[in-house]
Amino acid sequence: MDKRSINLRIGIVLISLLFSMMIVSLFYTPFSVTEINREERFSPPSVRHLLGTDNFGRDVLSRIMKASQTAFFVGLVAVSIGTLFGVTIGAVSGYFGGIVDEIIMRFIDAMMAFPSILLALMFVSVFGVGLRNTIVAIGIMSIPSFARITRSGFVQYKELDYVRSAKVRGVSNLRIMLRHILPNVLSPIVVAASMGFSNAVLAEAALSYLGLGIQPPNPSWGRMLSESQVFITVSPWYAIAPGIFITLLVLGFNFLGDGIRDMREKRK
Amino acid sequence: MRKILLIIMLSIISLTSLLSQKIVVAVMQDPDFLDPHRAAASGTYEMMFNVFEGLLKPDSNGSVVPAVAESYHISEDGLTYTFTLRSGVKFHNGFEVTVDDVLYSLNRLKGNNQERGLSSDFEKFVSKIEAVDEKTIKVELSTLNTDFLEKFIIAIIPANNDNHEVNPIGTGPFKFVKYQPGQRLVIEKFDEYWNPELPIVDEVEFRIIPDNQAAIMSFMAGDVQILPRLDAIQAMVLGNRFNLITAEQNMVQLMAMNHAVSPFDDIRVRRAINHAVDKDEIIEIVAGGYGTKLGSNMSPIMSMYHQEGLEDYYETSLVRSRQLLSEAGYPDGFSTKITVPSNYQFHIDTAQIIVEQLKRVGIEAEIELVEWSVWLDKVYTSREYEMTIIGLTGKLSAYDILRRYVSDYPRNFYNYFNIEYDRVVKMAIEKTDIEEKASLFKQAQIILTEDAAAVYIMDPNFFVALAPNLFGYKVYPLYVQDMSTLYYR
Amino acid sequence: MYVYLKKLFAMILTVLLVSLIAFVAFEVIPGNPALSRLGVDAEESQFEALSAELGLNDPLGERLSRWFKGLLTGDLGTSMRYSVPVSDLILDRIPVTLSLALMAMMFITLVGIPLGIVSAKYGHRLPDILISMISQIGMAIPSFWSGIILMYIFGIVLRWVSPGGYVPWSEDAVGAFKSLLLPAIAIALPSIASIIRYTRNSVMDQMKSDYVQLALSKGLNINSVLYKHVLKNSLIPIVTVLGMIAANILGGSIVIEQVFTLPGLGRLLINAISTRDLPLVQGMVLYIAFIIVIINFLIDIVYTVIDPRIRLGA
Repeated sequence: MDKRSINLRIGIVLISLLFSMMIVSLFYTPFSVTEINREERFSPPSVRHLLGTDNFGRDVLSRIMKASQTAFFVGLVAVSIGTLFGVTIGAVSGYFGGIVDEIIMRFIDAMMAFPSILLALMFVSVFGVGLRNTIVAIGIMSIPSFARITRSGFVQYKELDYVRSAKVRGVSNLRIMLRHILPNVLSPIVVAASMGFSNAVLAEAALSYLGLGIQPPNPSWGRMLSESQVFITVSPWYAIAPGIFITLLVLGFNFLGDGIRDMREKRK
Repeated sequence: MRKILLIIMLSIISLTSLLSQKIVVAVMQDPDFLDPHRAAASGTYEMMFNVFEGLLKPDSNGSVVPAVAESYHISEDGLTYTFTLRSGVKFHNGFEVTVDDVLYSLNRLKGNNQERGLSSDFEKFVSKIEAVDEKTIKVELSTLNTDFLEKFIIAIIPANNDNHEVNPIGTGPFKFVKYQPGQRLVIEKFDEYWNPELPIVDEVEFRIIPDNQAAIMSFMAGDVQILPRLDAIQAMVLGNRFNLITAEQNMVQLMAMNHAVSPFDDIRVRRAINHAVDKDEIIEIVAGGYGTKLGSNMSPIMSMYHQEGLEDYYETSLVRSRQLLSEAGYPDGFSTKITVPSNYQFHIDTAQIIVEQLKRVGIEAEIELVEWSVWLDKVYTSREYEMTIIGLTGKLSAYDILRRYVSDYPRNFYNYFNIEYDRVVKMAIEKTDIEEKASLFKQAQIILTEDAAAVYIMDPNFFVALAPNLFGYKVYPLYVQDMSTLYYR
Repeated sequence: MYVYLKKLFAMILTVLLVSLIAFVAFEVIPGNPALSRLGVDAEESQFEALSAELGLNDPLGERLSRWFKGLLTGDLGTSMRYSVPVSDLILDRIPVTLSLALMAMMFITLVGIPLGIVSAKYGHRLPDILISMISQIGMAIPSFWSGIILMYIFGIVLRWVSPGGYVPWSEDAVGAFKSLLLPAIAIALPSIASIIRYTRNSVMDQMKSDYVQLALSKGLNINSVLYKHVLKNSLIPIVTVLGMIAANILGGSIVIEQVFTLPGLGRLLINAISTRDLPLVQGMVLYIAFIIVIINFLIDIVYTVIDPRIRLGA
C-alpha cells in the first residue's frame, strides 16, 4: 500500500462516514431535534443518549446529526459558488490576458490580502444573518483562490501548440477554453474545491460561533459550540462533541485534497 | 519555580487589593453618555448611580429618599414640590452645592425658549422652577402627575462645569476617574461625600465584558469580584463556591403581539395564545425555576401597585386554546414569525420553547433572529413584526411602567389603542391619595390582562455572584449597582 | 517598482470601493445609531437630540459630501457610539491586536519552521509521519474551539493564566504577556500546521535538487548542508506563505478576541457594525487596508533581502 494513497483513503473514509451520517439524519434521528424535555436536561452520555443532552433536554447526537446537513449544504453550495464564479473569472482572465487580466487580478489580489473572515463578517453584518447570506458570503470568500488557480492554469495552457493550432483552425474561444484547456486544469481545481469545502465548514462554524451565521433553532456545529460554552463546567461533552465533528469533516476533506494532489504528482 | 513565583505574585496582588481596596465589577455594555442628563440606557445608570445624585435618590426598597435635598414637601393639590437643600453637600470638584446649581440642572432638563430641554417629561409637566431662598427650591407642575416625585432622582450637576460629558462631576459617593471605551469605567472614593460613613472601598472598576461566559471565567479566576447580572443557568454553572444573591429583577419579560397585524387584532387569537403558552415550563427550563410568573405588565416586586392573581387568568389549556382559535376562524392554526433580538440568549431560549408550545395548538411559528439595532429599528420604531419577545427593565414609577401602552406614547410598539386604558392611567397620576392611585394602576393592569394585550411571561430572577470576602451588597429593584456599602473582610 | 505601484493603486481602489459600499449599505439597512446607543428607555427628546447631533437627519447629499471630504483629508471622524475621535479608538486598540499578531507570528515561526525542517529531514519516516498527522489535525481544529478548550484547561482548571481580560503592557508587562499567551497560541495553531507543511515541502524539494545531492555524495554532513544552503533557498516560498498567514492571523484574531474578550480591533469592528457606527466602520476598514498594504510591502522587502536577485517585477 503506497504511502501516497493513504491520504486519499483516510479522506474518503472520513467523508463517507460523515456523509452517511448526514444521509441517515435526513430520514431518522434517535430523538427529536427540537422537542424540549424538562426532565432530561444536561444528562451525561449514556446508552440512551450517546452524547448526552443539552440545556433543553434535547439529544446532542441527534442535533449533531442534523447539523451535519447544514455543514454539508453550506460547504457544497458555497464551494459551488466559488468554483463557478472563480473558475469563470480566472479562465477569462488567464485566457484573454491584457488589461482585463491586469484589472481582475489586482482586485483578486486585493481580495486575497484581506482576511476572508473579515469580508464574510462584513457581508453578513450588513446584509443580514441566516443560512442564505452565510452561504453567499462564504461563496464570495472562496472566489479568489479558484480564480487564481484557474488563471495560472489557463495562462500555462493557452501557449501550448495544440491550443494555438486550434485557434488558427478557427475554433471558437469558448470551445477552446471549455474543450481543450479546462479539462487539464480540472485537477488543481478539484483539489482547491476540496480545500475550499473544509474552509467553508470552518468559516461557517466561526460565523455561527459569532452569532452571525446559522440561526436557531436550525442546529449548526459552530452555533452549538457558542451556546455550550457557558455550560462547559457543567456539561463538557456538549461543548466538545461539535468541535470534534467539525475537525473530522475538515480533516476528511483536507486528506481528500492532499490525496488527489498526491495522485497527480504520481502521474507526473 | 514558576509556581512559587506565581503564588508570590498572587499573594502580593491580593494583599494590595486589600490595602487599597478595589472592586472590579463585570458589566455588559458601555455607558451611552457620561453626562447624566443625556444618558438614557439603564446600563449607564447602573454605574453612574455611584457618581451622581439628585435632590432625591432611590433606596433599596424602591422608594425615594432625600439626597442632595434634606427634605421635601408636596402641596395638597400635588402641583408644587418644595425642596430644602442639605447643607455641606460638595461636588467632586470641591465646590459646595448651591441653589444656582440646582436651578441650572433642572432648567437644563426643562429647556427654555432657546434650547430644547433634555427631558421630555420635564418639558411637558414642569411649568416653573424658582429659588425661594438660598436653601429652598420650588418646582411647579403645569399638569398634575402624582408620579413625578421619582423624576427628582435626576442628577444635580455643577453650573460651572463646562463639559459634563468629558468631565462628569456629581455629588455621589464616588467620583469619576476615567473611561476607556469598550474596556472600563473607573471611579474612586470621594472623601468629602456628605455621608461620612460611606463609601468604604477606595476604587471601583466597571470592566466591560459583553460576553457572559468570559465574565464568568474572569470571576472564577478572581479577576472580577462581582458578577451582577447572571441568569439562573449561569449561576448554576458557578456552583456554590461563591456567594450568590438572588432577587426578582423588576423586569417584565413578555411576548408582544402586534395588534395592527392580523390575526393578532382578534382578541380570541391573543387569548388562545395566552392559553397555549405554558409559563411554568418556560420558567423552569430557561430560568431554572428562578422566575416569577406574571399576569400583566407589572412585577410583584412593585408591591404597592401590583395587581395580584392575574397570572392565573389564562390557565394553560390546549383545549381552550384550540377552541378560541376555531371560533376566530383558525381551526387548523396558522403560521407566524417571532422576531427576537439575537443578543439576548434568554429570549432566544424562551422563543424556542414557545415555538414548541404553540405547535401543540397548530400554530407554526418561525423564529427570526435580528441584531439589536435591527430590532430597535424594525420592531421598536417601525413596528414591523408579528410577535416579538423582549424584557422591559424596572422603573421606580408605576406610571413609567404602564405608560408604554397609552395610545399616544411614541414608542407604543404594541399598537395597543384602548381609550379606557388611557383614561385609567391618566386618572391615576392625578390622584394624590396613594391608595386611589394604586387601585387605578391595578385596574390598568387588569385591562391589559383581560385584553390579552401581550403574553406576560415572567420576572426572571437575577443572580449576583460575589467574591467570598466581599460583603455589604444591597439589592435594588432597579438597574443599579450600589458600590457605597461594599466592604472586604 | 512599477508593479508595486500598481498593487498599491489596486489596494487604494479596493479600499475606496469597500468604503463606498459600507456607506451605501448603512443607508439601506435597518438600524439607527442614535437609538442603538440610547436603548428602549430613552425619552423621545433625548433620541431627537442625539439624532440631530450625529447628523442623521441631514439630507443624503450633505452626508455623502461629508464622507468624501473626510476621506480626502484623512480625518476619520467621530464615532457615533462613543463620541470620541475614531482614530483615538483605533489607536487604543492597536497594541492588543498588534501584540497578538506578533506573538502568534513568533510562535508560528519559532515552532513551525523547525518542525517543518525536522519533518523534511526525516522525510516519510516516523518523526515526519507523526508531525504530519499532528499538523493535519492542527489545521482542522476550529481556532475558537481550541481557544475555548485552552482557556478552560489553563485558565480555570489549572489557573496558570487569567482567562479573558487584558492587562495593558504599560501597566504590567508580565500580566500582559500572560493574558495574550493563550489567545496567541489559539490563533497560531492552524497556521503553525500549515507552515510546517510548507516548510517541509519546500525543504524536501530543495533536498532533491542537484547541488544538494552533489554535496551529500561528497560526504558532507547533512545538517550543515541543510542549514547552510537549503534553508536559505527554501525561505522564499516560506516567506510567501507568511504573507498569507499574516492575513489569516488578522482574521483569526477577530474570532479569538471574541472568545477571550480582548479589546482588540476585531471586536471593535464587530461592535461598530452592530451599533451602526458608520464613521468607525469606515475608519477601521481604511486602517485594516493600510495594515495589509504595509505587510505586503514588508514581505516584498524581505524577499529582496533574502535574495537580491529577485526583482520585484519577476
